[in-house]
Amino acid sequence: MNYSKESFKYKIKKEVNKIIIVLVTLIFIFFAFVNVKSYYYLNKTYKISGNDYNNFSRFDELKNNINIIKNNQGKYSNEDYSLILEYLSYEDVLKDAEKYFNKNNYFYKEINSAYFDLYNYYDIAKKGEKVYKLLVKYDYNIIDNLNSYYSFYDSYNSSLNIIRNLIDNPYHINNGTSSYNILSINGAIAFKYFMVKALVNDIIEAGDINE
Amino acid sequence: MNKRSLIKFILVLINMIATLLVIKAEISFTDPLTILLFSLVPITLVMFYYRKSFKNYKKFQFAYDVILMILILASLIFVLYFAFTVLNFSTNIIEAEYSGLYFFTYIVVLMTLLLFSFFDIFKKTNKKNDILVIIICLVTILMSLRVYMIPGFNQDIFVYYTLSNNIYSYVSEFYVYFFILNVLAIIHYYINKV
Repeated sequence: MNYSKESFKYKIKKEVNKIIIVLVTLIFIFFAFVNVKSYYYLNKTYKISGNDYNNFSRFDELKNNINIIKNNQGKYSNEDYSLILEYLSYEDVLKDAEKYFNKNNYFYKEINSAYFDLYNYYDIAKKGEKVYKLLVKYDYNIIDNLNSYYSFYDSYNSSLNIIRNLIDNPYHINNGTSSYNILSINGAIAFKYFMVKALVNDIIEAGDINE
Repeated sequence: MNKRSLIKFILVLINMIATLLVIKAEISFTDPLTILLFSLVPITLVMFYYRKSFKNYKKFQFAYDVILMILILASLIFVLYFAFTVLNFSTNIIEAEYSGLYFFTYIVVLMTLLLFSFFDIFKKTNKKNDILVIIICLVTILMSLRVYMIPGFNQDIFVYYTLSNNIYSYVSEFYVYFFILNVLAIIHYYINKV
């Protein structure tokens, strides 16, 4: 009786060991397959056509306006002026533009990087809101311009959503459909530029800042 | 000293550190309660494994059994409470799985493996199990390095990405498989006692 019990135990143990080894091997094969698949998709390239965003002269205008604000306090109080200067920045937009405007070929992984670079829209919205709260104290009519600021923000958000969809479905996209969608990277940068531009113009207007 | 087990212990330790770094565990390991909660189930499992070690010392054996019984009860209460909390605060089981279960259970399994590996350093062990654990740990560590190598990988939005069907999702899916692998290693360890 004892012998048969031990023998049965041994057999069970042997079978369980076999099952464990088979399962571990299967999981390792799955890992290898997924890694090869991800390597292939991360290194696939997508071409875009109709990239006409290469105009950097617009940034000079924005730069000039920001310099005007930096050199002239207008009617802003010291506290408000320092807060405005703190929130005012165009460097990130310019940096993104320099990085992506001249690009015609994208690797899948570069689309991902672009998305993460442009992902900080919550910060931008908060930044804009805080500055507008200050501006309304000086010129109540500025509140009307908040609408256009948010419409740029919405467009910026939609551009990011298009890129996000592209990232979410890497196995279903092809060169034809994706080239238009990838242009949304430039679109998002452009809308970010419009947001900063609108904000800068409103700061000048509300503070009666002159050259 | 069992050198093979020492290698196993070091690899499990690296694996644990790598996992905590990748999933950016927001757990304060300086908090004694957290450490206790994370160690409760692993300590119970290890004590259960060595439950017959003091059979020649009846007094010790009795005290050991009492402590083990208390630990089993505490672990059961804790596991049930944890399962209840996760399921209660999640809208569906998939979300529950990703929000905390896969992360917590994987850490607990790793802790168990770490404790077993530590005691194995001082005794004879099953060669097949050691090799199995070493291979699993090496693969897991390499996969964790792979996560760091993904361009643009952002740990802050890692949790959100686990729910979407994109290229990043495989990263989190891997942790479910890592969990299964380590559970298999523990089962293998239990049934192949030396």
